[in-house]
Formats: sequence, C-alpha cells, structure tokens
Amino acid sequence: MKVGQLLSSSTTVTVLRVLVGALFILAAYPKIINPVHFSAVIAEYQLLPESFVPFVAILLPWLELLCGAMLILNIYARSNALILMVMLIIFTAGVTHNMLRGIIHDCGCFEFLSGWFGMQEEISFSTIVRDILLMLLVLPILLYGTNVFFRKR
Amino acid sequence: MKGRRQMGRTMLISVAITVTAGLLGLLFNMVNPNGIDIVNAGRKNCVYSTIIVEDEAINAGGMQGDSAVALQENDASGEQTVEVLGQDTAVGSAKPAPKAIAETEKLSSNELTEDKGASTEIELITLFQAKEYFDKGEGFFVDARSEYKYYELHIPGALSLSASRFDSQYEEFKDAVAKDALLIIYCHSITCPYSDIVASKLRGFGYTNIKIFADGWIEWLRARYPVQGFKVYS
Repeated sequence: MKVGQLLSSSTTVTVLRVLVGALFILAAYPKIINPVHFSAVIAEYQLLPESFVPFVAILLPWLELLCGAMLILNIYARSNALILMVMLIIFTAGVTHNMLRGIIHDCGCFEFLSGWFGMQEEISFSTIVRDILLMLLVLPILLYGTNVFFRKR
Repeated sequence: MKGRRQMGRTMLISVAITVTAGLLGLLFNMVNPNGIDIVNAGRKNCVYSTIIVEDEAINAGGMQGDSAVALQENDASGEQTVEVLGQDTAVGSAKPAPKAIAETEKLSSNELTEDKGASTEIELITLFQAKEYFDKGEGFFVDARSEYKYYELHIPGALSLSASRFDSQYEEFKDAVAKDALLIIYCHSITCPYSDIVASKLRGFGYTNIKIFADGWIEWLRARYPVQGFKVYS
C-alpha cells in the first residue's frame, strides 16, 4: 500500500518524468545527427525488411526526442509513456531474440556514452536488465501521470 | 466506460505524436548533411562513368542465363551512367562469370565528412577487378557486413570490420593493417551503404589506399568465386 502511494505521488511521477525524459533526449541526439550509422545498427538486428530500415532510423530518434521533451514539460505524459513503453518492449524482445540467436552487435541505445565516455555498448544481458528497469520507471508515469496539454495534476 | 474512453484517447494521442515525430524526422532528414538518402536507399552521389562490359556469354551471342546491362542517366552529374544489373548467374550453374571493367569509377559521398583533409573520392572497383586483386593476393579484403554474415561466409582472407561494430573491431584491425595498405571494402550488394560508412571511417583514421568493391558479396557469390566460412551449401 505504501509503495503504491509512493509511486502514485505527484513528486515521484514528476521526478520520473524528468529522469526518463532526459535519458531519452540524450539517447536521441546522436541518432538524429547521424542516422546513417543508426540505420546500420537497426539492420544488424535483422528484424525488419531492408526497405523499412531507413524510415525506422529516421522515426525512432525523433520519437525519443519528442517523447522525452514532452515528458519533461508534462505534455500528454501518459501518451508519451505509452509510446516509450511499447518501444522498450519491442526493443527488449529484439535484443533477447538476437542474443538467443547468438548475434551480438551494437545496441544503438545510448550512443552518447561512446561519444562522450568512449564506452562501446553492445547487446548483452545487462541491456535487457536495463530495459526492464526503464520499463519500471516508465510504468508509474503511464499509470498515474496526467494526459493533458500543459496543466498541473 | 470512462476508463476505456481515456485509454482510447491516450492511444489516439500516442499515434498523433508518432506521426508528428515521423514528419519532423523526414523534414530534418532533408536538411541534415548526414541524412539518409531514402530515394536512392544507400549509395549517395555516385558518379559512374565508362564501364566496359565484357560478358563471355554475351560475346558468344548466347545470352545464357539472365545477364543484362542497363543504361541510365546520372542524376548528380548528368554524365551517362552504365550500371551492370541482374547478372543472374545462378549459384550451381556452370556459366562462366561475367566480366565488367570499370575505367574510372569514382565515389563522392556525403558520408565522407569524417575525412580529415583527405580527398573525398574513393575508387569503386568491379567484380573483375576485385578478383584480379584477389588472385594476385594484393591488399586486404574488408567485409563491412555484420559479423554474423561474415562468419557464415566471406571472401577468403577477408577481415571483418562491420559498420555497426566498427569501433570495437577497429582496435584489432588497426594492429593488423598498416595505414598505407590497400583495402578493398565490400558489403552485401551495390545498394548496401555499409562499405561507404566503413570507408569513410577508415579515411578518418588515416587509411589512404581504399577501394570499394561496389558489386559486393552477392556478385562474388553468383560468380562462384572462392568463399570461406561455416555455412554449408546443399
């Protein structure tokens, strides 16, 4: 009961909105700047037909950026949380699928880590754990967040 | 009832946000110098010229198989483009490999932005030329496809340097290959962009002698040239 109250409090939802929003904005930036590399990474997942890859490489980073920004500004927070949740589920399924097939490649997740800190991120068990953690952070926003345009809860 | 309506509204807004993101992405991609060329899907600003096609089957008048040569105008330079298309030498047939000799094929790519003061032109070579280098044992063949594909089958002796795992694979690559060594980069086919990405990055790291085997892996396979790997053909 106490956990439920804590998760549903406006302070928790606000903190999570800002945290998740900032993370996704950071994740989106390098992909927006260099979509060609991101399309190569998407192709490595071998989950989409080749003709779809460029469109997904263009759409996904902007979706991350838009959702991140709107979460921070508390604009349609629940809808944005829903989008991020769906993305995370698909992404986790893709990573799990490829790991089971033994295909290891770039994650294409938080590429600013390699740009700023020289960390190379490949898909691994920790990627799946991190995604599940992110889903848990998004869930309270989806359940208890607001879904209005610029209005305090 | 109210909850269902709210859920429907949430989903509707989600779709609207997704569509908006897609439109913003497409608009930005049009002005982004590193953007994806959706129309030509892969190879950018390629300037081909003077390709002489010597197909033994055509010369013999036989037109065995489905060899075809297509001519088209180059949109970037206005020069006439000759592109070898659909040389469907089926794997398993005994048809001799088609030969195409490119005199002056040059690639000027937007993706070469990482070059540091170097020329932005990388020479494209054809199947025949790639085979010549292979036979002479000159240069290093570099496979820009995914590692998974590389391990399945690749040109014998080729090194794997995939576009998506470039940074981690480059650590080993740089120790094995000198900066002035001849590199022949290939990926899946002529529309595959990974050779350009890898070539661009290698130029950025100071490699000077780079050629792109434009026809790529699929033509090498169709020509029944030697391959190496773990895939078993039935």
